[in-house]
Amino acid sequence: MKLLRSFFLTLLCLVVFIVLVVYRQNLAQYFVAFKNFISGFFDQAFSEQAFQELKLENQILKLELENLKKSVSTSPYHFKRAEVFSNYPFSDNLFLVLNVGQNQGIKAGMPVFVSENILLGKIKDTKRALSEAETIFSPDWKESVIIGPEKIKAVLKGGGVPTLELIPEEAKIKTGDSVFNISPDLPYGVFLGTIDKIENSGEPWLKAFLKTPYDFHDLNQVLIMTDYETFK
Amino acid sequence: MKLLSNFWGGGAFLVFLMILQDHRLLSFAGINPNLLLLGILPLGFLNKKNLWPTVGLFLVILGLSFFWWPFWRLKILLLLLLVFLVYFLKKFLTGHPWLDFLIAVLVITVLFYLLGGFLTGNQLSWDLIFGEAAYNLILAPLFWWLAQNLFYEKI
Repeated sequence: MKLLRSFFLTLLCLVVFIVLVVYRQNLAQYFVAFKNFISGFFDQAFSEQAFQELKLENQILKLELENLKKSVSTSPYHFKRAEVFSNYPFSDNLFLVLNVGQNQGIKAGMPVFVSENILLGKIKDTKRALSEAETIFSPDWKESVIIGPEKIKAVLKGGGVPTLELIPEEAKIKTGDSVFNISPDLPYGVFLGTIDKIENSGEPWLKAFLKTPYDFHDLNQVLIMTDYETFK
Repeated sequence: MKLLSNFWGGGAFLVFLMILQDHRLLSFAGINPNLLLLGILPLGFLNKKNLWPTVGLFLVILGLSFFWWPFWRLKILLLLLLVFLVYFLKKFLTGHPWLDFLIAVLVITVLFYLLGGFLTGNQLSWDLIFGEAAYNLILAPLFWWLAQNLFYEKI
C-alpha cells in the first residue's frame, strides 16, 4: 500500500514536472495576468475619476493616431514579428530572447521595435532558431538622441529607467518632450519615449529620465527591422 | 520510490521557480530575486550521503536552462558551480546550517555578479547587486523551510 502511494506520488510529481516544462509559456501568461490583476488594485487608475480621465485621454489619442496614420506615409522598411521566448533571468540586465534566429535571416545589429514607430533595442547575438535582443533598459546601452522640437542633443544611457545625459544646462526641454534616435547604427529619428523628470544637480549638464509608452515586462511580441542594412 | 518522488517533486519546484524568475514575477523596483539560487542552494546543505540526486537535479536544471536561456549558459554554469562548491566548502563555515545558508546566499549573490561581470565584460551595478542580495536574504527563510519540509529532505 505504501509502495503504491509512493508510486502515484512519483507519477504525480513527474506529470507536474512535464506540464510545467511543456506549458511554460502558457502558465507564465496566467501568472503575469494574475500579477497585473493584483497590482491593478494599487494603481491610481483604480479610482473612478482617474478612470474617466484615462478614458477621455484614450479617445483623444485614438483620434490623433487616426489623423497621423492618414498623414504619414508607411515605413519603407520591412519588419519581422517575433515572440518573446524568455527574459534575462537576473537583475543586472534586461535582455530578451526572441523566437527567431539565423534560420529566419536574423542578424546581429538589426533594430528591434515595440511597434513600427517605437525603438526598443537591437539584436545582439543569434542562434539558429533564437536571437538575443539588447534593449534600452540594458546598463551597457548608449546612443545619441535628440530631444523635443528644439532637437537638443543628448546621450541616452540604458538602465532600469533609461536616463538622458550630457544635456546642456541652457537647453529648453520640458517634461513630456519626445526623444528620438540619431545614432547611425539605428534608424534616424525613431521615437524612443518622452521625458519624465529633469534633474539639475548644479553641474553644467542636465539629466533627465526617459518614460516609455509601454511596460517592458508586458512585452510578448516585438518587431525586427530586417532590411535596415540595405538602406544605410 | 520515495527518492524518485522527491527528485521529480524537487525538479518540478525548480522549474516553477525558473518560470517565476524568467518572467520577473517577483521583481520589485527592477530587482529580480535569484529564485534558482534560493531553490538549489539548500541541496548543498541538506544532502549528507547521496550526492547523485543533487547532481541529477543540477543536470536537469542545467539542461533546461541551456534550452530556455541559451545566451547566458556561462552564467547559469557559474551559478551552479558556485552552489556546488558550497557542498564541499560548508565545513569551513560556522557549522549552523541555517546561518551558513544565509551567509552562502549573500556571498554567492555577490560572487556570481562579480565573476559574471568579469567573464562577460558587462558593467556591474552595485545598487542592484546589493539590492538583490537583500531581497534574496528576505526570501531565504521561506526557501529554507520549503526545502526542509517539502522537497529535499529525503534526497
